[in-house]
Amino acid sequence: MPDLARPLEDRAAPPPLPERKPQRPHILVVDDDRGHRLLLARLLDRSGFRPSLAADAAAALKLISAAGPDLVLLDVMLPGEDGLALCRRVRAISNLPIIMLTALGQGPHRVAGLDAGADDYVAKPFDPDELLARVRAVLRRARDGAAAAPRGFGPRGVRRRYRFAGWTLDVARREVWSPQKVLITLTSGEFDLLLAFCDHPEMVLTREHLVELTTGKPSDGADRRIDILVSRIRAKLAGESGGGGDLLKTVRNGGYQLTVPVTLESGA
Amino acid sequence: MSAADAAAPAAAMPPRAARGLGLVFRDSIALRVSLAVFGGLVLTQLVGFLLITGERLHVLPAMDARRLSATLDRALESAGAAGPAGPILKEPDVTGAFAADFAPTGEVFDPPPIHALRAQLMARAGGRYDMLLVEAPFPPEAGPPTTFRLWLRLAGTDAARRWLVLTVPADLLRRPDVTRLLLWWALSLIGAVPLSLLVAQRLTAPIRRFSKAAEHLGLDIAASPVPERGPAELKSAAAAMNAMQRRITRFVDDRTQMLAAISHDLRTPISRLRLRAEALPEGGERPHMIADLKRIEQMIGATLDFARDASAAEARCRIDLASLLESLCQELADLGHDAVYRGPAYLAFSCRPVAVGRALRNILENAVEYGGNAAAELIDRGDAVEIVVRDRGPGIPAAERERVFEPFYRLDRARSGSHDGAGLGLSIARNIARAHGGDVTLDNGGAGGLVVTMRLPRPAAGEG
Repeated sequence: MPDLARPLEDRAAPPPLPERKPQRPHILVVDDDRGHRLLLARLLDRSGFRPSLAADAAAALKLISAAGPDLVLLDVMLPGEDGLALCRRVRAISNLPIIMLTALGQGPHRVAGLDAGADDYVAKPFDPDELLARVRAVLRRARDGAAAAPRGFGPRGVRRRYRFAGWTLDVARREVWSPQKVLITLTSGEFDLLLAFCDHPEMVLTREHLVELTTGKPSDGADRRIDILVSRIRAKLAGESGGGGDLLKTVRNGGYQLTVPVTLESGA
Repeated sequence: MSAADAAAPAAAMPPRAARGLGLVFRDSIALRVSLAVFGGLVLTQLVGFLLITGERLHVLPAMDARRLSATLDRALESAGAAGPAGPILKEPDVTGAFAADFAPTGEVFDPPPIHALRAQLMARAGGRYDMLLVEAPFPPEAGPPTTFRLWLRLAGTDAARRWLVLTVPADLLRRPDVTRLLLWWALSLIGAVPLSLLVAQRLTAPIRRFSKAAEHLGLDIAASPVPERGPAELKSAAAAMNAMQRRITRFVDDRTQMLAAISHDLRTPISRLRLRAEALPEGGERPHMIADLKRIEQMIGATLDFARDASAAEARCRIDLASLLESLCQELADLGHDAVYRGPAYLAFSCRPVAVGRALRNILENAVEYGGNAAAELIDRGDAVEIVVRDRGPGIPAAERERVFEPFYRLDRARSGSHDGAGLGLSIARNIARAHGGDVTLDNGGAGGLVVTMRLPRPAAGEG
């Protein structure tokens, strides 16, 4: 698509065009497939983001230091230095949010990507709406994380692992390990809810707030779902010893509360 | 199987011993070895037995006779000098000897063992004495007698019939105790039975280890290599087996690599098409195009899963199988399917979690897709766990049940409706179950519908 390619490629190198509103989040797309790169840029542009494009790691690094994007969409397979190495390099010097894109599928590659310090991982081909939702979620998390600094977790880092009452919540791998080192499986809804509790330990969270935290959308009144998820989480954490079942307390007229302190391991 | 296991005596642990015996009592190397050991022991024991009894029965009496006859000769000589009566000589195995001019006064008897001795003595006497009598000791001793008296009538002294009297140990007249020998021999042979079994066990332990390792390899090509130790023959067999494993692994890796490369190269253009479809006007062909792309992507994913599982590189860890199965059901239910879980709230089990999750998801998705619902049950059978998934669909005719496990096989359209899976779900599930030493089997439920059972054996303690 040469017609589309020209203006976008041109837009990459120079500083943001004056007519672009500064509040449009700046997304750097790093992908060696030219067609894919341009189509992604068009999607982002249409969806209220400001895309920049790079075809390899060197160009990406140059753009990161020059333009300071809000988020990087990074393809794993790049000529020369691959996406994982680039991700590690960026992570070593900044907390810039990174979403890995890959054609390698899920499974071990996903873990490798997250281990390299990526905030999220999206497999090609993806549903464009889903990608946009992930981009927004990661941007929101980055903002929330910065805002959460006073809660004692320090400046926003990549959340790797939460620990509470012997339990481990591996954020990158989306795994929950019991104190007996047994892997407990939660549905993604349950995991997101438990993650929200870990993000806000020992705080009473209302159902509305929990809906917002887990879906990113304001509560539509269907908060009964939170009750169901909480009771499911309790049942699964009860596990072997029955010890994990009462970690989530029901607060009358309030909502729910994770009753134990949480420690966070961050960094790549 | 550790060295300590192998060294444990067959009788120490009943189940083990039973297994060992079971192994011995069919045509096996263990049986052959134990028979060879036992046969060898019987043979050597028999030779020893014959040698000893032969000595007792023939050689020793002859030696006794020779010695006694020499003693008699000396006694006769000194008797001539000593006069009519009185002690004549002392010798180690003759506690007393005297000449007498009267016949035996005590109880004379004729035990069979003396016959051979008498015959030998008479033959050696050269006619110097013509009668030999045995007299019990007098006064009688308490218990069995320890000595006897031999009375020998000297020939040719007609005026006064003179006797030579020797006191000899009772042993000389006792029949060699062959029955006791026989008893000992039998006992030692009975003792040789467990010994030969034990030897057979120990000798065949490396072979059993080898066959076990080979069996593991057959189930899971990624299993650890067969240990190359033990006897030279086994070492070379293990080395050959390991070389084969490496070749197969390399072949599988190459194939996986190729499939991954193909799917990678396909996914980027599909992703481009997906993004282009987004730019098409709403309605019209757009939803169909997106659905088709989704289907292509799913098929690529399933193909890659199928290729990847053969190599099973994932590490085992302990997982809560109950929460895994329950979560899979809940996720299907959240999508609007009828999927329920029944079983324990918690069941720790060691396996490869991603692989087992994929297998179970395939089974559950198949159930809701083809059967309309999925009722999953988790059962702890002790040495294994079973996941049973029932649906209320049309089931699968018995003739087709094995075929649906073949990759890319699908029931004919009339039965399966318009489902467009890649036909890999059950193949993948079965591959994963088999890589765990288990299996996936199909059955038709009593009230119609399909029953899929995935059985996963519990790994032995210490093993992964």
